[in-house]
Amino acid sequence: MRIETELLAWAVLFLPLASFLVISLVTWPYKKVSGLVTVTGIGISAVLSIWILSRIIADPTPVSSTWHWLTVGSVKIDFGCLIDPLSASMMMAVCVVSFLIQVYSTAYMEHDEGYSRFFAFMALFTFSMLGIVLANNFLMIYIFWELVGLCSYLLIGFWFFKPAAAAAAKKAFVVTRFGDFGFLLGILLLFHFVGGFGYGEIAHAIESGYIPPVWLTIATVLVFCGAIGKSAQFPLHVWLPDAMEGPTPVSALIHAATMVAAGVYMVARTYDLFHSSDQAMLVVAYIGGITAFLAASMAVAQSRMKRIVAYSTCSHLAYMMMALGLGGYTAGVFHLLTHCFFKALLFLSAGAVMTLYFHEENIWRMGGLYRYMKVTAIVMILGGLSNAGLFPFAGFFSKDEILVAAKESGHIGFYWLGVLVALFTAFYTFRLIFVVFFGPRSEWSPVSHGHGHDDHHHEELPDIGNPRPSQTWKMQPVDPAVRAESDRHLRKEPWAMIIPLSILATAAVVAGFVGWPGLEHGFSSFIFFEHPHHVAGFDIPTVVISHIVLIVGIGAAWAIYGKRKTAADPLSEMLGPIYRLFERKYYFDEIYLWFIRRFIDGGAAVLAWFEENVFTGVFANGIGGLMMEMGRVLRLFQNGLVQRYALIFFLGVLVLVIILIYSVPGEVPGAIAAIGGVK
Amino acid sequence: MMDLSCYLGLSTLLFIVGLFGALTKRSAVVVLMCIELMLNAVNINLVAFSRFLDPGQLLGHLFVIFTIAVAAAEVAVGIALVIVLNRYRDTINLDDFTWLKG
Amino acid sequence: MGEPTTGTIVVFSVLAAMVIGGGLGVVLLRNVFHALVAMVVCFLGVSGVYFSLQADFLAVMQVLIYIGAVAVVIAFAVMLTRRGKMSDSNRFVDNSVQLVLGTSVAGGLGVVLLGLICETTWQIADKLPATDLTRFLGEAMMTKLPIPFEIAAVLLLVALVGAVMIALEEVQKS
Repeated sequence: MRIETELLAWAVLFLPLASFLVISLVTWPYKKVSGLVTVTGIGISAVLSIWILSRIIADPTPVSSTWHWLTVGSVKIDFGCLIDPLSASMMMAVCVVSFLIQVYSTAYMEHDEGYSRFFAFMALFTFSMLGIVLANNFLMIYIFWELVGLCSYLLIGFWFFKPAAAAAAKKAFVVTRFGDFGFLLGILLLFHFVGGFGYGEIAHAIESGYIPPVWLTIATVLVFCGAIGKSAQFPLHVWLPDAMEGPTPVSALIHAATMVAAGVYMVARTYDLFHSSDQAMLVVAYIGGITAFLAASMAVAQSRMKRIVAYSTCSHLAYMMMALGLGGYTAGVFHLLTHCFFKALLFLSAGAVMTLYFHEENIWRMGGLYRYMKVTAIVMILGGLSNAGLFPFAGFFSKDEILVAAKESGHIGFYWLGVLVALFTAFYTFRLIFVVFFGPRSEWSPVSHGHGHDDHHHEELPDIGNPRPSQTWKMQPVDPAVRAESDRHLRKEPWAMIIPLSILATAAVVAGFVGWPGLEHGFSSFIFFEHPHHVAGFDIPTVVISHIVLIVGIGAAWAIYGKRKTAADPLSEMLGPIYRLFERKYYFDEIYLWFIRRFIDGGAAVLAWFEENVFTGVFANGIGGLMMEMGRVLRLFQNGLVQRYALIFFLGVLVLVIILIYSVPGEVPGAIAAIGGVK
Repeated sequence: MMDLSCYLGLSTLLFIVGLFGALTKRSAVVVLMCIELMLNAVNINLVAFSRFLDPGQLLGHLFVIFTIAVAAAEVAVGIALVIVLNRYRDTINLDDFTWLKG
Repeated sequence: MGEPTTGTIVVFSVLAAMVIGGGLGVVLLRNVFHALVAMVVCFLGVSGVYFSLQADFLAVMQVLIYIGAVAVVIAFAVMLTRRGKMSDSNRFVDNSVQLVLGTSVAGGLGVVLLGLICETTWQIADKLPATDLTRFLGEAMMTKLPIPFEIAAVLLLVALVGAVMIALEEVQKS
């Protein structure tokens, strides 16, 4: 019996939702069961999604399934899924990465109070993300878009009792809201011209030229605003590093593999729209280029492990945006998919290091960890190589394709920008790796409160940032017994982490081969826009340049950090103020804060004055006062004498009777006429 | 057989007398009596209409029976209130009661 | 229905005199006990009016309920609340504004209503009423109007219990 592909897709979509419901309604008191429910649900989804992908590879005709949802006036709104090579690949990536992260989480969250809550949210998040992937119209994507935003809020603020986490959750929610507002406006604008939400309808309308070009560009840019917010692009990138306050699996799933990828995916999904407007494409390319450079340079001077990876994510997403904006559709999507794997790998291995290292995040407190956690170190190095783009790792193929696309588009500036970003990428990735895994073991030893490694409530040490060589850094005296105990602990890499890490590492190494240039049935003939983009073979100059850059980057990192003797960043003295600029993230947060203080608060003060004096003073108190005065006058009639009330009552009756007599058409009764003197 | 107008006139006069008393007498008991007069006037009206306009249905009669029942209830409660008021304030003069003065 | 005979006119005049005279007695007599007696006379007159309208059952009910029950209850109230001289116990209000306005409103309403009655032509149904009136009413109560009937019963019960409660509460307090 052949099961319909769309049925499978609905199953993939709703299994995580079912897991969420089961956990939140039934199994929430039982930690192990809840974890198992999510792992099983998403595991089945992953298997089904691979099955769907295999079918789509065999027959790439898009399949869609639509339920009629509601009719508003003449507008029919559907709820449907669209399965084509793009969504099938993305669905597979989301499901598989999500599954591996769930398995990893069972170990990472093992001792957490909110275990069930965590898995419920993760399942809900996966459901929302799959909704975005499968959506076949803008309204549906918007619904899931917001749902993803909600899940992101819940998961970043998972440890809501930590003020930093609560603030980060709020920041992520508010900042992405700016983008979402634009997204909504864009959707409504398109709806205004097209009269429908479906991708197909809109593509058709663009083709037939129903939308004036100016408005098309405006709508496209507004839609892209949503992607800017979700994918943490300049100028809304500020939320992503803060979002690292959430648990590491959340960072891996949401802020590397899927949610931030939603923006890029959305641009790819609605490429009809973007492709139709050259200006919008340029906007996408410029935003991508700017963000790629900014984020990569900021990553160079960060001191916290997850933030380095977060900025790397930002930069890579921007790379994809740039590719899409330059017309490199296949390259952008390819990088999106490979990035899913190697960035999840980087995050999860960073998380593994942190878990074993008593939840310490500052890389300057680590060092020499290779000896203790070999597996983690090796997979992280593999991930790093993929991130930096060494042949034949996955990152190499997709990144080179982007560079080639930039070259072919004729925007040679973007090509060199890409190369520069690649240099930074290689440098910061291996800065992280060298500082954490090699060099001397930091004299600082995490203080173990009994077996306090498993909870995050332990007293946090002050954030030391990047220590300068000139700074005298007071070290804590290390008790040899504590040191031995912690060293023993460092060697306990749990299987539930190692297995997903190994699988992701394998994917990060081999996933690129499907995009081998010149391959007959390779990636470029599977996912493409309008017509397959055939590449005869490697673009040798690009390969050479990117490897030179790679070697320079890694070499520089080795030269600066490989032989370091102290826990300090020598780069801070080499670069001076520029380093400080990178470290403080170009002062974006400060600028935004200043802007808010200056303008928003000022505007608010004006409005507050208006509210106080005009609304409250004139309207509320004025009307209220009028009523009070009227009441004071009317109170005089309430003299408490019941007969007076009766008198007034009957006076009213008399008046009513007379009014009725006069209002009845026809002859006025004589007796009444005699009283009133009316003829 | 007298005219309908005669009965209606009689009923109106009785109603007016009752109303006049209800508006101008001091004693709460007398006011209650006057209200009974007004109710009787209404009953006469209903019976007269029933007799002259709709002799087959007798809906007026049924109405009067209910009116009488309600009037009886009203007297029971009204008298009880008057007695309680009398206990509280040693008077049943309505112009002494201004508790509801605003 | 034909012209009224002299007998009917005389009977109606006597009844009308009883009704109006009784009503005026209630309002004008100085002694509240006399007023009560006047009210009984008025009720008797109303009962007679019912007879003249061939509403025998209602006429009997009028005597039973109004004279037998209501008047007696009011007599109790008069005696229980008696203050001062009985000969000057039924006074008008002191407030002259209330007096004047009350008279005007009552008079005005009377003039308007009487004028309306004179001016209106009624569509008199030339039919005789049912002979077995009581049976008719009883059947109507039990078949067509059982719910109002029951509601009236409940109302009476509630009113009685309520009246007892109002009086009783005070006894317990004092």
